[in-house]
Amino acid sequence: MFVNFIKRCRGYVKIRISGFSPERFMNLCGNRDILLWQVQRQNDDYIMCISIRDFLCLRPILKKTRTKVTILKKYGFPFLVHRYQKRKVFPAGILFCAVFLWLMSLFLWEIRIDGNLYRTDDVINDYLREIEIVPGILKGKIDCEQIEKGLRQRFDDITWASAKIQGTGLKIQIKENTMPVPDTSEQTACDLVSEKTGTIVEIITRSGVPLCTKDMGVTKGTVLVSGSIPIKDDSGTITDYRYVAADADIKLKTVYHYQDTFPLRIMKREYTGRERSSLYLANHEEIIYLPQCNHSFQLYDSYLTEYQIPFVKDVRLPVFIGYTRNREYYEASRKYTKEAAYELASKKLEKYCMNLMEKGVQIITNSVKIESTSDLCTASGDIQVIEDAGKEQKISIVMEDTL
Amino acid sequence: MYKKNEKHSFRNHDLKTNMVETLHLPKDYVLGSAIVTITGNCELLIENYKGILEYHCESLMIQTKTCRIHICGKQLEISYYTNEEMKITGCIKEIHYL
Repeated sequence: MFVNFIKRCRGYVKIRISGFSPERFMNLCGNRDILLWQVQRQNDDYIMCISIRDFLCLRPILKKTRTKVTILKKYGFPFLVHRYQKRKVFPAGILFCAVFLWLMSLFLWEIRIDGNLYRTDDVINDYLREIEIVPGILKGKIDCEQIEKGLRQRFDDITWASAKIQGTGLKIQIKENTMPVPDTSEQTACDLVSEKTGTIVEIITRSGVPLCTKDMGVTKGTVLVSGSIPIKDDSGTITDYRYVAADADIKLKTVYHYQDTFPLRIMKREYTGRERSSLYLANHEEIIYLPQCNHSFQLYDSYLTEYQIPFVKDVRLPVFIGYTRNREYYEASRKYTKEAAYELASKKLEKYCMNLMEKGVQIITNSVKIESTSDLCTASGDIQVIEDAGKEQKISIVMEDTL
Repeated sequence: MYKKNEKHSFRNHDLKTNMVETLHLPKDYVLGSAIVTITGNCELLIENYKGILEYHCESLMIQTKTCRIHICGKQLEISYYTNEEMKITGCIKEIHYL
């Protein structure tokens, strides 16, 4: 195969030899180190292949053997060049495209981030921008190990990071720490105080001195469990205090006052049905619309869909193709009916209650009433709940000189 | 009965052959023998020859230093031909040494 490739590069011709003694012609070619191949006999003539260089040396042999040569077909790169010598721009264009693609593949054009749940892509991209990793830089300047190390140092909750260059993209995979942060409050002495006014439903003390009991009413700021444990001597006199971090499970019955008001008359968007769309090409800095999207809409919504043009699987070029759709609308005044207003207020209340329940609050009674006038709809009332109580409050320890 | 010259050449030839075989010398170089390599009945490689005498689709006559080789077959084609070796392809039926 390699030999055939070399033959094609150098060029060869298929010739027909006719005349008095073609065998003598072949023998003389052999004596002069002229290679002949694919020799066939057709009637009285011989068909064979010979290279261009050797063909040019045939004249004396033909004269000597009184044979005639006819070129049947030409093969190879030299003939191709001669045939398309007036079409130089086409192969030059192909060459230019190949060189351009190779040059573009030396740069980074895409950054993909996977595995992040708490840290958004923008946060990580901002950090990468700080260390000068942006689309458009040379791939040779990217140090993946430094990026991985930097991500772990910069963000405490990233336990594992991997940076890899695939084609013209930088793929960053991270794993965030989902383990709960160890509670360090045990190191600091503190009391548990009430944040709201209510009635104690249940109290289970694990550490500290409880200052309230079940069914006892407390107000905001009341100390529920004290972190100061008195140390008494034999006579019962307090000689010293031992300070601990108070810890207890306290359930408090309290009331949430719910209030929600909204107008019955609202401005709603009504779409006219008129749209204008256009394609556009963009790189990281400029946008070119094709064709120009002209419209006279005063109020409209724009929908953009954008794709980065992939060359092959992992090689993406710095060109984005997008589609813009503008929909015209006008704002019309609408008024809720009584039933619609009631339904909306109920949905809002339901959502509020769901939020409370997600936080671990148990709802006992709901006495919210929904009323509507000609202009407003109001939902107000009390929601009685049982929730966890007890906020940590640090104890200020005053050291006394006992001597 | 052989003539004196023919008898002399036969003796020389036998002596030469014996010497080559005894000393294990290359026969193609010393005796000028052609080397014929056949692969199945479709490929034949010949080395150490002088030239082609005749070539047709069904027969090919080659002159070597010591004899003539006549190859008979069908659709005989010379794959390549140089001063040192040639390759013949096709359906080879007979090879005669003349």
